[in-house]
Amino acid sequence: MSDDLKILQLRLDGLAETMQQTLLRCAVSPVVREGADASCALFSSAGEVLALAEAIPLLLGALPGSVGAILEAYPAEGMQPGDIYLTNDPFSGGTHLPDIAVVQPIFAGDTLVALSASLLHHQDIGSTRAGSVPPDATEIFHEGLRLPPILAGRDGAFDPAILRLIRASSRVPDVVTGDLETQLAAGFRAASGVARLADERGAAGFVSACNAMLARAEAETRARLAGLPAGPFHGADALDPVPGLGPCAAEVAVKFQDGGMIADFHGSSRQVAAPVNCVRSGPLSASFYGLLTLLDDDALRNGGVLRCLELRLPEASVVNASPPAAVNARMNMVRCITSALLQALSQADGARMPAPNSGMSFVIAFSGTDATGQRFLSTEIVAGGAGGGPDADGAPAISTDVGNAMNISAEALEASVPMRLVSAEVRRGSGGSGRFKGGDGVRRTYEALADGIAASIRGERFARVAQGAHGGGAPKGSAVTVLRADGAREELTARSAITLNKGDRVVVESSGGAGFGAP
Amino acid sequence: MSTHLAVDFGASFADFVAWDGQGLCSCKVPTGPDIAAVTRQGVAALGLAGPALETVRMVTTAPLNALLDRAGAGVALLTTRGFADTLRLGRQNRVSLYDPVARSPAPSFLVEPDDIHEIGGRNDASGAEVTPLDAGDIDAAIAAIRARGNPAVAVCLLFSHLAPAHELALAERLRAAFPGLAISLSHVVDPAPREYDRTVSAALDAWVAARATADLAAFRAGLPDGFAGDLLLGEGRGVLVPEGSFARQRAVLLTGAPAAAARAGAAAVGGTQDALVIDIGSQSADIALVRGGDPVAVDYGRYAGVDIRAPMVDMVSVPLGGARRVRVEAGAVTFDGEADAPTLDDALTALGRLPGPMSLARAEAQQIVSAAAAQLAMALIRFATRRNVDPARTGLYVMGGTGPLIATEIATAMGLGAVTVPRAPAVAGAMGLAMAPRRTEATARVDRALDDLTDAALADQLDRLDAEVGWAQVLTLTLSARAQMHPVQLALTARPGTVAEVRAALSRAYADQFGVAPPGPGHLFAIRAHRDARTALPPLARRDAPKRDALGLVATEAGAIHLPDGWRIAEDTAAHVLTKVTL
Repeated sequence: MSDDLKILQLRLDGLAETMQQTLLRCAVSPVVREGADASCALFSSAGEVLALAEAIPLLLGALPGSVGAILEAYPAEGMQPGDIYLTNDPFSGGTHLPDIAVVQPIFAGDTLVALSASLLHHQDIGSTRAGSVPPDATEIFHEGLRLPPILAGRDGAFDPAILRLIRASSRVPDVVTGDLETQLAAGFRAASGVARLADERGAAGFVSACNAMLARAEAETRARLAGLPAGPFHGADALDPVPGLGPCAAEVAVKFQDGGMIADFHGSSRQVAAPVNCVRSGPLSASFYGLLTLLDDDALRNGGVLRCLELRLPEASVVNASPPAAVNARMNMVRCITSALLQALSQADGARMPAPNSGMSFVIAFSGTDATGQRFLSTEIVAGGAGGGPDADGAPAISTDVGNAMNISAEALEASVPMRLVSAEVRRGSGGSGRFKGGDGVRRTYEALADGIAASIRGERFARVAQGAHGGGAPKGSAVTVLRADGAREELTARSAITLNKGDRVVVESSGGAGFGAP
Repeated sequence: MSTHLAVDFGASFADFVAWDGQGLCSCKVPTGPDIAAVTRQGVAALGLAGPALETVRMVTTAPLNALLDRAGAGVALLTTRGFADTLRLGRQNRVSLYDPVARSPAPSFLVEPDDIHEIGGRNDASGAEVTPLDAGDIDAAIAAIRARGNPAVAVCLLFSHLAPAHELALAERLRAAFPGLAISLSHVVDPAPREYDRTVSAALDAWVAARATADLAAFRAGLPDGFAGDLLLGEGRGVLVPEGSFARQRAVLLTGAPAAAARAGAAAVGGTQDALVIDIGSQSADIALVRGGDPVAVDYGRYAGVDIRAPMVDMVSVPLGGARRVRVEAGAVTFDGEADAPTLDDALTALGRLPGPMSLARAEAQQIVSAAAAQLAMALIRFATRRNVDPARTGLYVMGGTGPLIATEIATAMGLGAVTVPRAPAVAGAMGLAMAPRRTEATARVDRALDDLTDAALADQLDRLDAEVGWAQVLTLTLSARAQMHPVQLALTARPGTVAEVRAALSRAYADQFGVAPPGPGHLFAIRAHRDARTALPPLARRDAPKRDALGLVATEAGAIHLPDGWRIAEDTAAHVLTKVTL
């Protein structure tokens, strides 16, 4: 009566979670620490996900493609204990260049039983700007060091030549190599845990139990999807228009057939000469996330679910860019794809789905140099509101769908940069109207305490906002207002970089969620 | 003066355990609204006289159950101007990543929006005053509190952990306006940065003050005449603190009851092995991990769905217990049934494991019990794997009124061939209080890079802590590789003589926990020193072959154990060990 496969899944999940905690606790890169921008998983030797850590869903699709590309370049049969593989190539399954995936084979005796994989957003990997996310990049060549799948070490240690190459390309070589070592350590921890599990049943028994676990997740997912109407269901969304840049729209048609889901993104815009494009891992994250929202809370979450997914992607598009597209600021496009996909899924499974969420979050950075010459930097993510329904008002000020970032407190912000958070409020009335109202966004008011503070404020939903469901209303759009110390007032656009002087105030307002049902 | 009493007020019963050098006795009394009367009844049943009582220890689940019900308490909150929404905004995270509906874990139910009042006045990040408190805002808040009759007030102002003067000034005004009002100041309750967490701590403290102050007074009133010993409270780490602690940290009463049960489990484990302990009562099953003889504690954790920043046992509560009602849908059994549905206890009765009239068929009853065991086994495995503990290699300890009746089934569902039941399992919380150490504790905030800390400054801090606690048995260092990184806790049983020793300990902690060298030179946030004093219990009378009755039940000092065919039982001084017989 004990559910052997479920227990195996939980134990593997626990090992992936241990890897994830190692990264979150030991990584020096601030975006990993504050934004949890890291992902860990265990894979079968065939490259299927066995277990995933609970992380930021934005990265759900980040590892399967990278692991697949590594296995293609270095077939499993040739892997040796202690091998270390890595890649950060967006066009070989990755995301953007700061995200380096490290993959290590796990052996039980002489048998390759699994692979560990971790992905970590490194602080700097070259490029035209510190931090390796240059907003003005138009080609990947502007974005930093590109590492195709490579064998980066043997016998459990990185090849010093590879480390020298990476160090030579980074502005913070010690931080990057230190964080790579942390990824390696996370892999070793997972390996010892997996080896213990394999010992209990023997290598062959472990592999066959993993295969059974994948098959069961597939069967459960197919049973669930078979109960949905065939479709097609359509969804569409786009980034706010930018002067001089072509449209950045995602379109999707979702069909359910033979217990599988086909997400066809044809009709999406062609890739643009700006870093807002995303590669295949983007729609994969969005679609994997969409599938998981359809499953029960205690469903097995592994590659068996992905067996039920077919992506049809137009080449050289904003949802599946081709070289040499720039991709570093892909996040808003992934959110856009997710919004389009959730629209389609809510037509298929309306009873469980709320109205669209805000579909945005702000990424705000304040930086500069203080009087003693010390550099300061603070990055924060400000969420919008959740959609209303299906049986209650939407939650205000909350990370939604593929987002999962926490806010930053006034006390933490003010301790790290010369800014004052004057107020942090629910932006009342910003959610869409409806029988179930959309959740409100956030209003944060900052005041500069020194001259010459650089503020980078990137958001979405200034012009295009989420649409209400079943007769519900649309939310208020995002807005950023600068109130200069001399009384001047400036309204900013979606992606802005400005300089603040002492006494200047910035009011950041995020969009709410859409309403559900006629009011 | 050599008798001790421990009382655990639960949802249905209050459990009383009394002991002296010779022996131990216990009783269960149905709880009711009159705490003093319940107390008198238990004291009378055990025949205790006031002057003979050396210590009395107490925990109650009443505040915790109210928290689970998301009940209000009429608390008011005073906060810095611009920050009235702090509780509602939370951390902008959600409870479940893959639920299409995003739900916030922020406990905004603790304070009604109309009871939140903003006060002008501001400190900066160095603790310096930017603007003084606004007297008009204070007058308005006092008028509102008077009009609404709030029984308790929480105060959380920005940077008060660095500069408490504004909170202290507000408290003075409040005390003058409302003598006797319960006031919870954030810098007293939780002197650490990040205003959301500190606001939750202060609001929770006021919430417990509003709900539990009267119960505590009633308990004291119910104690026998002539009692002049120490009244001790069980707090969230499963240790005892003086009654006076309640005035500073009311939240000690919040998680004390499940922590006491975890302590009972820990006492049975002994030695250094890891063990999972589960206390299955009438309403819930509480799971904890025991390591090195103590329940594993955390400084921050989600309990009852609320993120609580206070030291407490790392616990998970599952809503499954003897009085939970069954729902059967499509062959699947869950324990969230309607009021007229049978309970898990009804199923146990039908199987002869509890006395009473049988209302269920045997097959149906067995299906319910098996489902309960399977679900609890899965909860234990989930708890363990989330903490990188391998449930197949960890001992299992089961207690509570219901636990020992289904212990072997839980073990089987986890694939284990052995399970241990602590002594007197039906009164586990009270037993945990009886065995909990009495803790003397002090904390020093250091907040310095190890590179900037001299051996002399370290010695000075340690000397002051030693003076405060008498003699520090254990030093718990909160430190991290770099100031902005997540801290780790390091427990040292020997006083570090130099900063280099602290650095070496940090390296060991990173190697043990993460397998890496510390990614930075080290930053020491705080040192906590404590000394524990334990009370000895008379040992359990050892029986090599405890008697099993016709229904498969083995009686203990308090509560019975179900021993099915194919299992055998043995006793040591602390527990009953159940082992599967291998053929």
